[in-house]
Amino acid sequence: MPFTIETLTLALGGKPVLRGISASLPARGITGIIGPNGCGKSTLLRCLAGVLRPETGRVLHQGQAVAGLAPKARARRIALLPQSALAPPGLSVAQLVARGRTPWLRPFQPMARADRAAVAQALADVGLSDLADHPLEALSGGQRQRAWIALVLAQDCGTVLLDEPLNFLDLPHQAELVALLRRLSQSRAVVMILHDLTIAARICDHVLALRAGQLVAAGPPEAVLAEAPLQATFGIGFTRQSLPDGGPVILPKGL
Amino acid sequence: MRRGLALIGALLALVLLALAAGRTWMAPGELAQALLAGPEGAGRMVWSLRLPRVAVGLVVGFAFGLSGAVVQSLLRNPLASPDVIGVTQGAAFGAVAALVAGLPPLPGAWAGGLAVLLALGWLAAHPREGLAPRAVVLQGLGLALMAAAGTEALILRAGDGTAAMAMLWLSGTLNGAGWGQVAHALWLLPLALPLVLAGRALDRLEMGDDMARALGLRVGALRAGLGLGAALLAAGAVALCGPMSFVALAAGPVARWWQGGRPAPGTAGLIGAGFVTLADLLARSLAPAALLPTGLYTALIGAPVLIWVVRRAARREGGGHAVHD
Repeated sequence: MPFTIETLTLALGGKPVLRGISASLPARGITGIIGPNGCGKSTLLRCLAGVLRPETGRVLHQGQAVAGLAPKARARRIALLPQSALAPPGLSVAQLVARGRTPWLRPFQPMARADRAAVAQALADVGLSDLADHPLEALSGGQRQRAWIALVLAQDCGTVLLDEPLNFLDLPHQAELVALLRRLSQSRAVVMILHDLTIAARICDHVLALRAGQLVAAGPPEAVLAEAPLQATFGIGFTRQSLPDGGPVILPKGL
Repeated sequence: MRRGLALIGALLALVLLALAAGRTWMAPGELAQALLAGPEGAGRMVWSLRLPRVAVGLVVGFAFGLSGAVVQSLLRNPLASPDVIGVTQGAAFGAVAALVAGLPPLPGAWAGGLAVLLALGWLAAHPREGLAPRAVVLQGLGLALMAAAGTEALILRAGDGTAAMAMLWLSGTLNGAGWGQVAHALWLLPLALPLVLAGRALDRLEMGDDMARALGLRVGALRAGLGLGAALLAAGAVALCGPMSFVALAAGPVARWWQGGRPAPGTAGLIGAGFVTLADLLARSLAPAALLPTGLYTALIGAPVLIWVVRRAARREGGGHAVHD
């Protein structure tokens, strides 16, 4: 159980965003968070990461309250790739990935051998070793996204949170990144926000469905990504069919 | 490291040039003799006039450059600086108010600079999301205009002598800087140390608040502490020699370019120190009789640098790259 969420409530700018969410997430595999725009997915992810403090309720990570952890200790356990992350201009791929080592660095000390090894491993994991010294700006969208994933991997946390990692990637790059995340989730808990329900159904081990700050459904993808809970989550009907490969395809009705 | 040493070497050469420059130029041998002769006798002019003036210029330039670079990183905006967000103008208002009241300018400048900083924190803070950098810059512009108007009102109401003194001081001058000012200037250095050491934190803060928090930084405390330090430093420099235009704005981007794109607060301090030293060298040697304020020359050098920064930022499309773009 990396995460236990207990009646999480939060308002931003006077508007309630999360309203009493309770759930537990598995320690391995991919947990997908789905829901319409503005339903509180990102806010929930930020609460899990401890970068946002809930007003009431708690998030426990391996039994410890995330809000009670020292920032550095928290960053050694939980990694987050927010959508708002900015790459300072002029960085090479390896320099960007090296920033993931921040919670492990000693003050005013350069990177140690273990840090460099972690960066090299992370680059190898995402298949960017050959491009390590290339400027980030020269990379394609898919490669750049993999570089960000490598940053999070270099942070060396058992729990990795990703805010819409597949956004703005073309289909081949989505497929490539999905395969990578699948592989990574064998030894880690990966929690990510997803929009494509077919992809969610095929890669997630656990799914949380949110609507208007409340948890509509939680459980294995077969149960949550079924027609009734999807209707309750998005307010529109969905068709779910099995393809010859045995995997599902889920599309909104009327599309 | 090597680039830092090269910069310190260049700065030393500039300092020697500044010591030799003035109404009467000194040959290298003469300068060495004067420096060795000590404050009594042959070295009197160098020791009692030029050396303290250059020293104050160095400290003030370092303070402005460092403060500007820190503010630029905190607000993720290469065109932010204490004089853009109103801290410098607030400090100038406080210092002029103190001057008019016959009080020492430093407490007035600090009070004015802090008042603007607190007002900005209050105006631009989001209860949970922290500061919105764009809101700080835009509202800071407004506060800067208000403080400048207040300063003007103070000067109009002051007597002729005080008004003339305040006007000259407002344009940024090292005229009459002596060892007394050097002693005051040294008080700024302990404030500068934590900012010089904050390079790594500034680099991570530039990646966005959430990313910085996720990497284990105490974003709120760092921003408050570094912002406070930068404001006190800029206000302290204003109290010593008035607002030197463009130093804080221009030093940061130049330092960043020199250090390969990373935030480099210490380097920005050195660039600022060199900037003011060069401007004062020009002020004393181009038209020595006119006693033109140093701030005039910092503006003359700084404005082209500003244009260079804007053109460079335009080429880089705003300077940052989001995860998805």
